[in-house]
Amino acid sequence: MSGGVDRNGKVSDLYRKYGPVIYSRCRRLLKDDALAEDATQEVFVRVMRHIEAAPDDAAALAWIYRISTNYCLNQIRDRSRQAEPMEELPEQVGEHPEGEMLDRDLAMQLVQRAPENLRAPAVLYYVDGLEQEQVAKALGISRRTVINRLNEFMSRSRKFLARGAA
Amino acid sequence: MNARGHLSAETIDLLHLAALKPDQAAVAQKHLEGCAACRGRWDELVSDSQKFAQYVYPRTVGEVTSRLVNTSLIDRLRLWGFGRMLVPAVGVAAAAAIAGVVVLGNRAPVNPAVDDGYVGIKGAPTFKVVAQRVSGGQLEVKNDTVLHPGDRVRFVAQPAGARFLLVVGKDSRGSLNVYHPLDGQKSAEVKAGELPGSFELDDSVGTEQLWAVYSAEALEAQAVKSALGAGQSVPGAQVVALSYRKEAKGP
Ligand SMILES: [Zn+2]
Repeated sequence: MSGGVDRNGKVSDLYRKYGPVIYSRCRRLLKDDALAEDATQEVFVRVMRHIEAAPDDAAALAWIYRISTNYCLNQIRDRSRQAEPMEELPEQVGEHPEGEMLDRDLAMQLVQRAPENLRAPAVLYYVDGLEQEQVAKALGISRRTVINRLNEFMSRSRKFLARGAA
Repeated sequence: MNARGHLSAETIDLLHLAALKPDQAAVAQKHLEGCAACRGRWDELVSDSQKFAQYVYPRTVGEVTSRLVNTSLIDRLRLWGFGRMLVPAVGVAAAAAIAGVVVLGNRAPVNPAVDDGYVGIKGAPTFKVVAQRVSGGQLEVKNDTVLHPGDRVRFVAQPAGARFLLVVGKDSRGSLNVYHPLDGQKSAEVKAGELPGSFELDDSVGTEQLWAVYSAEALEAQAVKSALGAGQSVPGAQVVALSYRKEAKGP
């Protein structure tokens, strides 16, 4: 292919620029350096076309959030890890997801017990601390849908934890 | 600042990319100075970033660039002129795309060629889906690819010795349709390469499934659909199963 050298340079520049953000997200979600390293490569290969076409960094990040979340959640599911002991549900969990900040590890444990369609919104909101609009943008769904899914996630999680405590 | 009084992950990432406007960056910096929670997130990103630059990047950049720069399936399709052979989308309600290769039924997800003699030395049949984005650009659809209404997909068969193929899709509402031969009653003879036609994805969202059912003899579509619908294996067939997600629109 012509232009192979230029293309190499472009790919490695973008990898150097966005790789750290991808790696940090993957480490946070997978909690394992080696898995995060593999995941970083896989996510970058998948997200590269979108990054190239993105008009700005925020748009590139939205693709990174979407693709890395889906990839890591699939990895976690495939590993089908043993259920970890549950921690106490933090005091500040109230009736509305707005204003709440779940402990990140607890949120990941709850995510693994949630139905598929609730997982990515819950990770992006509770683990990453994205705003609802950003979650909606990253996943290509409406803000209303994000709110509904977060509410369902919280309500299921409360029930789950109540059962665990009983 | 997000609704919870902290910096959102996006703000922290943009600050790290030096992509915030000066006034936004100043506000974010000031928040970091006074907030232990956000400072912790920032420090984690900085530390991960150093690890990436020091260890991960040098170890992986070679493979990443070679995977992205070397000729892909899509480039080869372009080379062969497949891009010009697209026919108008056919009126199928739901369309199909991909994902990992698994063998159906009670068998483990291993090489599907293991117990079928007719596949022989040619190896396992494969089935690929190539999507044409409504926003432009093509990609080979993989396990975690998210597609959108209006995207078009095409199929590439590699029968590896199998003579017949039936492609069945299950849309997000659970109905089963035959995509190849379109609305057919029986498997069709198959040759390696792209199947005729392309499918436009409709407005429904959710997870959709696709099965490429390869066989030595033509199979009745109804029997195949019944087996697949019941989650059973298809007698006398090598099945490549794929699933993908369809979501409303891109960011
Ligand atoms: Zn803060």
